[in-house]
Amino acid sequence: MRTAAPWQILNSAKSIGIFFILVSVAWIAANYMVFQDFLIGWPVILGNVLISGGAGLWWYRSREHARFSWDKEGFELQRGRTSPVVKGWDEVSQVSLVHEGYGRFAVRLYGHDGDYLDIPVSDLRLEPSDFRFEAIDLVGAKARSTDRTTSVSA
Amino acid sequence: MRERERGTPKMDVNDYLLKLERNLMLGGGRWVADFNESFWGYPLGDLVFDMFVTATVRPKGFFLSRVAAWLTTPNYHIACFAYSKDPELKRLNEVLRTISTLLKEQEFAWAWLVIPNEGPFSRKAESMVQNTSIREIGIALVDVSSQEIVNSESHWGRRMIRFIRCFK
Repeated sequence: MRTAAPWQILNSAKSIGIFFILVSVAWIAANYMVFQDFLIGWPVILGNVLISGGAGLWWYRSREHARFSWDKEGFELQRGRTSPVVKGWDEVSQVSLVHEGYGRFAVRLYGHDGDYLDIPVSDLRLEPSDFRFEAIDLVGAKARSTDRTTSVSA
Repeated sequence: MRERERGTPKMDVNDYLLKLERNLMLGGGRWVADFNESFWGYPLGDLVFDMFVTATVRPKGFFLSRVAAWLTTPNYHIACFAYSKDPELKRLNEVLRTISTLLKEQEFAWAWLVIPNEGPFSRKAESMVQNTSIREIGIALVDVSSQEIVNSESHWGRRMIRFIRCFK
């Protein structure tokens, strides 16, 4: 089974950035309510950076970090520490390449019921077009082997 | 042509479609619409299209540009189809009928149909395309060997030329 789970710099930076803004706003609001003033200095900024860095990394590791494993039978996608989505290629009916904007791509796997799952190939540093064709081949191969099994058993 | 003589590798239909897909999603195509999803080997009716790229006319952008786009731009869908299995255009009517049905059912406003081939098209095929007058479908025959394009005379047929000319 092959696995892709690189450190996703953009997602971790996004998590840290959002926490930095939240901590800054909370600090300013708390200061204003308690002291009717804003206390801003290097120790405050350093503390804010440390808190938002820690909280952002915790959020990234528990919610954002994408880990994708696949072989010719199926695949597993996990985001952070949430429970992984495990599926077989025979559960996929259609594969598409999706441009999410700013040059970032996902490979969308449609189920037979029309639901879909996006594999964040740019986050995983997989080559989007190549992985799309690999997924199409895996889905096709699985469908052919299922057809053969069905016709033999019939 | 001179580039070919210097030893540029010959382009095949797949290479061309990859370049077309890239041009629509990341290149000049963004001036027309946000081409954001691409299917290869897309079955539709009795046909299997080589490529089917869908788009919305409303751009995404970041916060303010997204709000501006939401306020000013209508949000209709468009599509680009590629079908290379019939360079003689014997099934052109069936292809156009299938696309028209999809446009109606899925409420797409208009579509492009690109028919690529590794060689010249017949005179008959060229005149069929030039004389096709479906308003909501622009059609183009693309000879990837000579890099020549013949388009239909509809508005979308004339407009599509500069976005599908992606041989480099």
